[in-house]
Amino acid sequence: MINNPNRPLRVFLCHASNDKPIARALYKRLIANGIDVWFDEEKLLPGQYWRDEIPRAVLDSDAVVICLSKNSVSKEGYLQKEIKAALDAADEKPENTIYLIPVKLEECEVPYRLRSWQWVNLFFDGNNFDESSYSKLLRSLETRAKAVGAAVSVAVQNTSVNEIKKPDENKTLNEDLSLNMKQAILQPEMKEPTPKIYEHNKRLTQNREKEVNLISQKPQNIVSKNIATKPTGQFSPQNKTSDKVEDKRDSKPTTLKVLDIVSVLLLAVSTYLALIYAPEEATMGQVQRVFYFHIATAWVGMLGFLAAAVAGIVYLRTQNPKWDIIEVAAVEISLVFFFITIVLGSIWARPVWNTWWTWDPRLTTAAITELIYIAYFMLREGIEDPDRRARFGAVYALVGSLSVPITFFSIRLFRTIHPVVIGSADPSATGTFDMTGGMQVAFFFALFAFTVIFIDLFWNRIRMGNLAAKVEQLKLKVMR
Amino acid sequence: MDSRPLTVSSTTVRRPSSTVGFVRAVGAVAWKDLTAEYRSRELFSSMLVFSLLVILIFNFALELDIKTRQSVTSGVLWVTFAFAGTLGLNRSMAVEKDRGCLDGLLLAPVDRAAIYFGKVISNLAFMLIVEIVILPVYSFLYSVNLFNPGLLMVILLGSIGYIAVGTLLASMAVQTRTRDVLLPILLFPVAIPVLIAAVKASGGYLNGDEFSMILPWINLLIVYDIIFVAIAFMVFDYVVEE
Amino acid sequence: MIEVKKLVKRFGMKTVLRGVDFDVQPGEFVALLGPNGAGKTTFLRILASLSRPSLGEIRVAGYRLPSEAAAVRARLGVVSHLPLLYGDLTAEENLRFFARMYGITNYELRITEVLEMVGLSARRHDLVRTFSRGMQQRLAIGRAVLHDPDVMLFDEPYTGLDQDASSMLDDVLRSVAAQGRTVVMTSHDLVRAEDLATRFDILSRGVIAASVTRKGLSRSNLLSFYKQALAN
Repeated sequence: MINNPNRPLRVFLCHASNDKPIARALYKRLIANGIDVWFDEEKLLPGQYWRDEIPRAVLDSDAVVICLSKNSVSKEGYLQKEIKAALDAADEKPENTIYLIPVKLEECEVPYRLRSWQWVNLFFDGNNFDESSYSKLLRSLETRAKAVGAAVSVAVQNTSVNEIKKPDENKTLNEDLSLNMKQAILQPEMKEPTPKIYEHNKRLTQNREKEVNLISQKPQNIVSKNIATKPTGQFSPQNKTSDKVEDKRDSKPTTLKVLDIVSVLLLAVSTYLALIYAPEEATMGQVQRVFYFHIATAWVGMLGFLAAAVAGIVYLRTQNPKWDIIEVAAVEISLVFFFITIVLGSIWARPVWNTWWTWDPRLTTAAITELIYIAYFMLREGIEDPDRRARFGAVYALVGSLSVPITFFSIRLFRTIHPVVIGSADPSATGTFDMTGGMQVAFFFALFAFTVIFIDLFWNRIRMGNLAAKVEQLKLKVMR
Repeated sequence: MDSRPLTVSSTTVRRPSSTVGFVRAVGAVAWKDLTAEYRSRELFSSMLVFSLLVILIFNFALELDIKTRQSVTSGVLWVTFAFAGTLGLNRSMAVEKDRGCLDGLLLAPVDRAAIYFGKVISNLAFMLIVEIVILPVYSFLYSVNLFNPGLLMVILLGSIGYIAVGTLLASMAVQTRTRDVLLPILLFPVAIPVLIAAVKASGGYLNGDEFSMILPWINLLIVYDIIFVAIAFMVFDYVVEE
Repeated sequence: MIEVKKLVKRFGMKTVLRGVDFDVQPGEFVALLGPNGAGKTTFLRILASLSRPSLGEIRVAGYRLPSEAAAVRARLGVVSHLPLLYGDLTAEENLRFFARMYGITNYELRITEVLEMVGLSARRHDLVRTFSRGMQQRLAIGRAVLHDPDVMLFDEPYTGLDQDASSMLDDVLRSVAAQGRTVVMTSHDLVRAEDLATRFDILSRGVIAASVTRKGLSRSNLLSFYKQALAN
């Protein structure tokens, strides 16, 4: 493919969805210059999933033009997801074959990931691009075309030449499109772009007389740069201000910060209610106060258990690593909270039934669940390949989630059929009590508080998992 | 060396047809394991000797006098079976992994579930053979009559559940760094229901309990078997495929 | 026979193959060369349907992977550096087992034929674990051609073989390739690869860095070609 000298240069045009009108104008300009532009509006058919198509298209292109604006880099510093997908795909390409051109459509911050590339200012006044900066963009594409042996027709300054050249360009363009169709990578049918371009170019040239705004402070020769050669100074503290965008992107969401504070407050209130507000239980005394947190932690353990099972199933179906992170988060939280449940249960059991441990079905099931979780982490520990680790983890979480309810049922069956040998091991026998109003308040408040705490911890843990994944990714990039 | 042209004479390669192909593949995997085992008897002898040793240790650990025997026989038997079972499962899956044979199986144009069921059948056969030898030895040593059709049925149901989930987990365990050490740790916590139910049901038959007392446990065993055979059938692909 | 387009394979976040394009015509014998860690084995495992691609399109013998993996498997023979054989079964029993797995009818005749071809007729009733490494590797090839595959994949078949065993394996490989089969072989052994293959592709840093046919390569400079391709 690369050896075909007459094929047009393939360019992937990538933009935030809000910049569509400008990107469309740029697309039409580029295509008029005989460049085969992948533009989602044109090439992505309804029903095709961009998440699958974008990486394919990026791998198939000679250059990637990224339109930057205030829209594409959000307030939090997140790149728009389409742009992010394109960049991720570009990272897959071998070194020195990636060719990125960030294009600033308006004055805006260049995202961290694109800092190592020379950018072009191509400001748009609503109707027109600045001609000299457009030709700079075109020149850099020409350089690229030469390198890969593709063709670009030189920038044209007036309408007539543009019109004369047209049929010829479209012929090569269409030939290439049909080639693409044979490859069956892109899509089975394609829209014919010719008439639209014609119209649009006419309009563009008519409007060209209008004054356009150009700000261009950077040297314009665009060099293909290797990620590995990027100056490491970007990580040093004195460059902090320029990394603001990046810092913001990884900083804690405000909602989560608020939730952290709310969780602590709820825990404090719940502690007050359980230890001071709730009346003392008549027969068991002060130790009964353990009950509020005992049940609440068990409830959180259950939530984590269910979340892990669901995440495991979803992971197996989608194979999306995101669900693996969620699953591990759920298992970890559940592990800790079931452990607290068991300890609190023992503290309660000691004075009430005169034993640290009762083989109560619920408590025993919680203990067995802990063992399953420990086995889960040992299994993950023993696997290097992250995909396999995630798959095996999900399978084991699924097996565990099915076995635990059966275990609970069988232990209960065991207890009811088995003759009671020493005293009564059943908490419903001696451990029961009626909840008075104050107790009920403390109990339900504890449930509520711990549910919020669960959500907070879960969120934090998932965020941590995502950050760990990102660190891993950056490590790989540096080592490459 | 003879390097004459290789042509397919009277041989035809059939496309794997759904049911026939599946059953044939299950049979081939099981046949292969049983033939290899018949020849080496490695697995059988190690499982059997191990079981006898466990029973011997229990004898001294629990002072199996006549009164105790009544209540602990079923427990001793199932602990023995479970331990011997992990030994067999580990070995049977390690054979596949060591010489790359698992890849060989996966390269065959058969459903992965066929490989799973083939391994389940051979693993189950090993476990049942050991159990069939252990039962009379135990009856002989402790003069307990263990020949009770109900008990044999419980042993069959319990072994199916144990092997169904054990084969799945053993296929995962052999693909990890810790390998055989990991299997009991993975298997025992999820096999607890099947062990509880099997111990209680076997105990019920040995004590001559009424069937209505035993029935819940048998139901539990059947439910466990069905759930875990089904789930292993569904997820085995994820365990062996990359 | 084999068409690979823009194949990408990631392990977690690590990208091993970065858009491999690879085409093999029927009857070609392609040697896939490259340094350790270039992704040769990963690539071959993907072609063998043992590993899933992360992105990209693969057709083997006209069927897509991984969606039509079963059809591909029926037309594919794989030999790796591991024998993929059972030590406690005889040579004949091993072949019989795989014949059943591949759904071959009248397999006894075919087994005799294959054993003769790999020169193991005399040892057909011996346990495979008593075989030398070279004999095991020959039987492994017999196992791979049992179902008369159109495409053969060899992953470092010479690993652990001495000179005699290697030259015997050469003969077997040649006779396998002489059937008009399409062969892809990974190897470190440039000399043997040069003798056997009709095309040499060099896989480096996750892409095919260079490709040359036997005709395009003057005698005995595969090594310099290889070095040059890696240097670029």
